Amino acid sequence: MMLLKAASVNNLTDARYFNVLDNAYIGLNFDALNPKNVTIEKATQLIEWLFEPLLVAEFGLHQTKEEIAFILNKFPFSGWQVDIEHPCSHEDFGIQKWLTINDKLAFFDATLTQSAYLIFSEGNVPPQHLECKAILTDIVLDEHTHAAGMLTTLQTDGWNLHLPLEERPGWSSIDLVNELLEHIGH
Amino acid sequence: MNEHKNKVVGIWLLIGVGMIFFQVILGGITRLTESGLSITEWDVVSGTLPPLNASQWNEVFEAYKASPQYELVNQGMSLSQFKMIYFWEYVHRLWARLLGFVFLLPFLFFIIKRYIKPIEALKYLSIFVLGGLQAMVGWIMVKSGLVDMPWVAPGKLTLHLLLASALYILTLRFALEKLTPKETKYYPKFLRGNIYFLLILIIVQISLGGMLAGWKAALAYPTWPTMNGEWVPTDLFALKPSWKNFLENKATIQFFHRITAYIIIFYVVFIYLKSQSMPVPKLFKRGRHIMLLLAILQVLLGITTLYLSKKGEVPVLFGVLHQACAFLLLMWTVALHYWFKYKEA
Repeated sequence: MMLLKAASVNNLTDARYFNVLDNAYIGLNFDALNPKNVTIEKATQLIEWLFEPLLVAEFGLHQTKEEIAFILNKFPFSGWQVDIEHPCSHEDFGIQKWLTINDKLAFFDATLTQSAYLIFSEGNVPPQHLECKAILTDIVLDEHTHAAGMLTTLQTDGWNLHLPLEERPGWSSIDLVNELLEHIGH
Repeated sequence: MNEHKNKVVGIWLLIGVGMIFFQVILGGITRLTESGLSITEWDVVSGTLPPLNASQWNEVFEAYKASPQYELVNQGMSLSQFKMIYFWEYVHRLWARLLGFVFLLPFLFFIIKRYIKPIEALKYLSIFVLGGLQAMVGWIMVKSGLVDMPWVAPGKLTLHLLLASALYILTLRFALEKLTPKETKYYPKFLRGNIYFLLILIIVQISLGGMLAGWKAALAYPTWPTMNGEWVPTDLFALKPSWKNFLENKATIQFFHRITAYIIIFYVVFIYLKSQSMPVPKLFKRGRHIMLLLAILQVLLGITTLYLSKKGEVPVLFGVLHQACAFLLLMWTVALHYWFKYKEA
């Protein structure tokens, strides 16, 4: 079954939707500079309404090891995610590591990638014989996304779905996700 | 006789300046080696002695193990590693106590021996008030890293650094009053005004440096001249309201630290060149070369520290040299400003 991760979820509707799906992770972004970030208070409120969620804490390039450790200690996360160029990308916090690969195809250190889930941006082809636990592809969901077309072109273990920013409370992009998942048969 | 008394008091104050400078360096090392949270108690008297036997070491280590820094960041640290971080924080605190004695005992002696007039004694009391406040803020700062977060609050760290700067400036001014002959010539106010502005810029820059160290913001943008490829970072004012960026946004803090550095170096060169064609006090004439040298050195040290931070750690040696150079430049600017002070038309 495809691995699914909803990136930077910041509203309850999206969080609950992914909570009931199989093999689906809910990403919470703790980078204050990211427009879709959640504060610890907001994350607490969201998590309160979820049943045994698979949570991934997402961090920005500028966040330090202390900040990351502090956040990871706050909630029962299944994984943590940083850019592969982050100085902490070698750290082991005892949970699954998710590494994002930016546009540049960085030099991969096998010891770094072997145990990680790697997230490649759309159109970025992973190198052959890459050793890692899983490869995910970034998908930015908007009204122009054509789910059927994407399925034929992507070879991946899973998707990291970027949902549109919540424009107002209660508004969410579930319809777009639904359409996509129907095509995958998730 | 008066001249002799002034000299003795001036030297006492100058020793104080040197000791404050050294304390700032120790503070920098404590920060950069992340040692500041290793002593979890504030015992002004009993804390003077370090742990002397294995059981005392175990006791302080166990207390540290209950701190968020150990639990979240330093899990599994050995006793010998702990002794190293304990050492820096201990020396920083011990030096603070020593500073207290170096100021207090001669101060009392000078009052009894009438080296200091009562009105001056009141003036010097401000050093003690600031020193006491500084110690208190130091503890409040450490406490902020012992409760929930495994780091000290950057705002409190900056306040601690700013109070150190205030104490340093004040003591230096008092020392200069005692040691420097009064200027009797009249000099145009233009240069003195500009040096005053430079002094303010340096204090602003030290505050930004404190915030930068507190947030480890150097690690976020370890490139120069651009900030990770951007001249103006996209996240410059990402936080709302805007003022919050100056307190919590690493991009804003580092960007303005760079901008202020450029303004300072421009200003130093401007003052240096302008003073060539203007009448200036003798001491200033010689001192301006050092000012220029320190400013250039400081920029180079800043860039080097940034470059070496690429490995994910701020290099202790260069970080400390950068801080030391900042305080030398501050000292020199205070002195240059002072040498213009006394004038008789």
